[in-house]
Amino acid sequence: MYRLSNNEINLIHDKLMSSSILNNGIEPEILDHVCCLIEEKCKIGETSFEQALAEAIILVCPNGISEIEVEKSLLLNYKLSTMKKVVFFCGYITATCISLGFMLKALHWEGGWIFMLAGFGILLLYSLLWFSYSLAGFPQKPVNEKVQIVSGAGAGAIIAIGVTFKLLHYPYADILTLIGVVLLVALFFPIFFYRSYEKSVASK
Amino acid sequence: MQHETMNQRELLKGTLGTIILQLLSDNKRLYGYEITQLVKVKSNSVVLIKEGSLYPALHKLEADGFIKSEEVYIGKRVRKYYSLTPPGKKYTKAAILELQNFIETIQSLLIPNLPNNVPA
Repeated sequence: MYRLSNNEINLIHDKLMSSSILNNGIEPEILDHVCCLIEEKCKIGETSFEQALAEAIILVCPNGISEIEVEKSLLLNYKLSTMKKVVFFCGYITATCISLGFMLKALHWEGGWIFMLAGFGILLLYSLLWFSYSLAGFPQKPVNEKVQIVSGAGAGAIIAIGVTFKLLHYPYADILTLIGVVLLVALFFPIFFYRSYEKSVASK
Repeated sequence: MQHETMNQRELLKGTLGTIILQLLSDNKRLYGYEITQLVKVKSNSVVLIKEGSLYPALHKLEADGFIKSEEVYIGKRVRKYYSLTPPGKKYTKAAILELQNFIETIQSLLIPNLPNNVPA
């Protein structure tokens, strides 16, 4: 029977925990499961430890252990599941309204500003909902993810208020929009795309 | 090589808890990897349980009080063995009966002329 060494177990543990976000008690079992799979593959002698590890990770959690952690939280917490639906539905409505508003405005058709107003109004709600939804397991999240959440939600809310003020000809609209866009461009976008790149590399 | 289809995954979702309970009633205690291997062997590799579904389902059954777990240290690893609780044993019988009735109903809907189908 092939047995993994402590160093190999530590390596698997570090690889799994690098994508952990909730740390909700499912990790030791996943570690044991991945170890069992690797031992099974190495027992046959067809593959090396590194190859078996890569294959086991793809089989068990190709998108990181966070996916299983979230699945567990959703199963045990119905409220979180409902909230997830509301957050994504709000996101969809926001994107649709803003896109339609821009199109109508660009074509100089009637009703563009109504869609823009509705879109940015819901964007404010969406930003706040997304922020409260992302607070699950917040202390355990890596620093760059924390900054991404705060800057993303902050930028969304400030831009939404700024553009709404602009449409309604209220004061401070320009400065609010400027602050929101700077937050989005200088903090949110770089971290978001860098993390997406990291995830894509890690899943290969 | 067997591929799990989207449809199969959806069908399995509602029955996974009952499958786990049945396996635990047949065996004194099991851990996650063992459950996946048992299902694979018993179903001739047709049903492949995804780890992403199995562990959340196990934790849900444990939170509902139908199964209990004990941790065994194997070197640096922790292995969690699951077994049925007394309410779990009772619930397993009811859940299996419910699933069997449901399968029979679906069968009578899909294959109406099957001899075993008795109209309600």
